[in-house]
Amino acid sequence: MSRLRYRRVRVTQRHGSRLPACLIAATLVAMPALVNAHTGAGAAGYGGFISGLLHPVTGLDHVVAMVAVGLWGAILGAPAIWALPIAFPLVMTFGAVLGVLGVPLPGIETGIAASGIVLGTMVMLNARPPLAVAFSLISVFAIFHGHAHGAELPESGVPVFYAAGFVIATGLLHLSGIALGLLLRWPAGRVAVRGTGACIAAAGVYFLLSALISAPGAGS
Amino acid sequence: MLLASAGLPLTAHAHANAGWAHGLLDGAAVFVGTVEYLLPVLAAALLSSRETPSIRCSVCYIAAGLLLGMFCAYAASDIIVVALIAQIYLSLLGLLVLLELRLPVVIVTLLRFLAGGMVGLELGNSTAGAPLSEPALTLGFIVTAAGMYTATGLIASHVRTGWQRIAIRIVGSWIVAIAVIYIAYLIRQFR
Repeated sequence: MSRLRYRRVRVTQRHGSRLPACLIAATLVAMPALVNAHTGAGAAGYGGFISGLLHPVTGLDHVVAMVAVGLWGAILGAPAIWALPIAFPLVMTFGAVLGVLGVPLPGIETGIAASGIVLGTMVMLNARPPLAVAFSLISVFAIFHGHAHGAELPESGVPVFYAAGFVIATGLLHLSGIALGLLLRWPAGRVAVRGTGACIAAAGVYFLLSALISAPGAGS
Repeated sequence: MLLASAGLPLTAHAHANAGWAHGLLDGAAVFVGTVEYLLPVLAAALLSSRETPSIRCSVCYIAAGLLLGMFCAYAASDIIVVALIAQIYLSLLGLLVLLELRLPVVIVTLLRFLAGGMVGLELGNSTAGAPLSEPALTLGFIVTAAGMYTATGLIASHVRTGWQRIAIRIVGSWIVAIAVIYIAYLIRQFR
């Protein structure tokens, strides 16, 4: 009797474990038909989503900083490895709100460039400050990044798609940084990660110089 | 089978130019193609995902909330105010998903019902009550919303490991972020 029950439970577990995969497959299969149907009103929305998605990705200054956040989280380990990618979008939202409402913030480009320098340096030096210090640092930079995204929220069309796009893109960039952080398991990987941090910091210096040179009144 | 079923929906849509099929597809496309409708249902599903047995039963609360919201849309008139209230509620739902609080069943039930109500209210308000005069579109919308809710809830309820639960928290933070940014946009439009 107990053997029968054991076999029944095993079968249930096997079939039960396939349920999420089946549901995911079913949802994905249904999506193309729904997306293709009546794309009149949806086209602008998905265009806005793509635009928002591309905004952090096509700006190298955003990319390096977001990847650095993920890398630094991987260096700091749990709970920072997941807490930073959760905290960053939330604080970035505050900056985005300021940008949407037209509240001016001085030195946006300088702040974004500085984020690359500081975060890249943290990764390069394998810095492990207390979590509160790490949070404070990324929060300051998140406001600058958020303001830059929010200030370009489209006036018309479907801004919520744009917002969804850049929030998700930011999260995915963090994830790519965390994925790179998996290299930390190996000695050569640790060197590679620190080298990546150095490259990020160097890129930040380049962006800072560009921002200072192109600032109004510079060079006069 | 997967490839065949991927092709089938497109074939069915090919001649669905009128009648109920057209309305059903319209309703489904409106739900899937509008983030303001999709996110509250997803958030409600993620919130409910800790109670596996009740996911299938709880979908009726979403559907009931949707219908009631569409009825109430006749009384509401200001699109921006309704959208603002809906986004404030969505940010609350996202926060609850992020915090992964274990709430009493009654509270979760109420949250699901209100989520459906907010979506129905927004839809009815933005289309001047049209969903109630187009039964096929309404049915397609509600069925798609219910299906998305059930699928998401069932998938999320099978999430067990720490990393998977962290992923749900991250999605919760995204929902809060999107809702708050949209609130700022609505305030800008209101001024």
